Amino acid sequence: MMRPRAVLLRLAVLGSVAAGGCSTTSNEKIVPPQTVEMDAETLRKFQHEIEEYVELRQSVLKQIPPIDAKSTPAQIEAHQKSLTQAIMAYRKGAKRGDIFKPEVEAAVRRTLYREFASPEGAALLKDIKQGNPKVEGNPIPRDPSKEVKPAVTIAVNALYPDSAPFSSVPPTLLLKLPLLPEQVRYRFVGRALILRDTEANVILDYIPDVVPDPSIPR
Amino acid sequence: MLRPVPFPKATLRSFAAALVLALAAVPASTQDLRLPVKGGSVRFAVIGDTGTASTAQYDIAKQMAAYRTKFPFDFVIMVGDNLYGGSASADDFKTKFEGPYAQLLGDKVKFYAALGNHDNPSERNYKDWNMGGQRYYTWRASPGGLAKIGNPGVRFFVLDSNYMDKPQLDWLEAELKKSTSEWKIAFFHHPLYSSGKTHGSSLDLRRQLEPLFLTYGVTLVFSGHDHFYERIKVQNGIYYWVCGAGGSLRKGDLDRSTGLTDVGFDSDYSFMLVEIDGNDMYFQAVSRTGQTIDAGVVHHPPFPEAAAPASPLPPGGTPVPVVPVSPKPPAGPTPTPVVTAEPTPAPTPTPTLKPLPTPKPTPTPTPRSKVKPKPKPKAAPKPKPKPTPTPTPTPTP
Repeated sequence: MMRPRAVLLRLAVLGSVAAGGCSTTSNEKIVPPQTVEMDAETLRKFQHEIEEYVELRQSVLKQIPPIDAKSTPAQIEAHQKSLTQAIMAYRKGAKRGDIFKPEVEAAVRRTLYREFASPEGAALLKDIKQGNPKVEGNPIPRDPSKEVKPAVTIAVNALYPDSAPFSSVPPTLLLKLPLLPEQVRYRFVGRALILRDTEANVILDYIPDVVPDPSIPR
Repeated sequence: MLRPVPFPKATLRSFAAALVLALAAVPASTQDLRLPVKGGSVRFAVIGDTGTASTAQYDIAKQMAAYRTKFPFDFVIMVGDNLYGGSASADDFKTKFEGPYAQLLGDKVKFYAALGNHDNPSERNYKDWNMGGQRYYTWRASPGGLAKIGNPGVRFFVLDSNYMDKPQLDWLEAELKKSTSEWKIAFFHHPLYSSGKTHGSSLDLRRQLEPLFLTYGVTLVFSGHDHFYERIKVQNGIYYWVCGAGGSLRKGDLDRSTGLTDVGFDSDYSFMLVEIDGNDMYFQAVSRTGQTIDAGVVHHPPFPEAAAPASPLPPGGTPVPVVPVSPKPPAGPTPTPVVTAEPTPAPTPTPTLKPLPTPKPTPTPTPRSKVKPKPKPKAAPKPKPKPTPTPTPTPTP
């Protein structure tokens, strides 16, 4: 299949939201560049959707109890619950594809397909099973050698249960997908790739069946 | 050259030869301290995968407090999964952290946390974990008591291995590059090397992190995720520990055939005690019942301006046998010699050590793991010690 308009974009987008970034005096770097293979216009649309979400989130944050680096458990709990409720209320009616628009979804699928088919694909698949809530659960307090899996519903604007673990997202994949701000994360749930608000525990959008591993439940 | 700190790779490799194990007998009583407790040293404990609120977590916490009466450590590093089941309720912090470690917290022991795959990122704002609101951060440890003049710097790099994106990698490289500390210690949740049957080594994470560690002189790495204790055979001059049984346990989860294990313990819960004094890093792993399951000292090669001489054996108790371990760092996982519960053989002094008292072999019980050599261990992808530098990407916000 031809992808005449596909351009190789070397990105370090949204760098301003990266926490703790430091400048270096040397140009020599070991960390590889962000390399996203996506049509420029498609990427721009995706970034626009993410930026809009972050703006919405910022406006929500002004209306709820704040937290900082010295917060108590009660403050963290109050903040998190308020944020979750507000985000879900603001995004009521959101649907699949609002952020992962069809052309974005297609590009993400191509990227993941290529990476999973690469020589390192097996290692990537092994890594994303780790913490995947459809694969792993939580130790039971009475007997921490046993685990129980919390139910996770993959749906837009659904709550990602606080009790569910997070899948690993291999760095190699993160270097190939569009960079996200700190407030939003890619995660795998079963075989789906989801976009999740970092603290509100809300699933913002998802792409089903991107992981070619039948041993992982959908 | 990307090597701002005088810590040449060759030296890194060579100091693998200086890892010495103090294979001591398990004591009849608890709190059998094997660490020297030197004035001005940096002392800390390591726990991982703790937040279950289980009886075992409380037991480990009690052991830590008991050991602290002999080994007054100043802080604890937590390698992730600090609150299983999330932090939706303030009670989670109480039952899974503040309760178990109440005595340590009361004694003003500081905790520094890394996030695990069961931790909500909002936990980074919890005051008692000293994360400064960041999911990855760094700090330089200050020794307790009167610091020695010229005591080497010990800097910790705490990473969020759940989400190792480019901003974090860039941050790590910049921080490592500018650090002038002699000891650079990284800790995070997912192990780059592990013999866990459930998880095992995080290969893709290793591909990104190990070149940074090698280039910028990280020497010690602590992780969790797999619920047991494992000291990995030195890998490319770097020492790795899996310390993930502070509140969770997967009995029998150690795959003894990986060729990675120097010492493993997967039959009970555990934690670690660490002391850094000059060029020496002493460590001791302790089980829930207070038994020593592993102990030893890692000798750092001489620092450029350091005058600290090599230290003799840790004091306390009977003289212990000294056995050289991993005299040459393997390029990759290699078959491990069988380590059994049999009496420890007579010591073979290593060239870098001063003469030691002749030890009496003593029986070592269960903690000594049996590691069967495998003809061809599963080869892990080799790290890229020095990838070709790539051009700086053009930001397109």
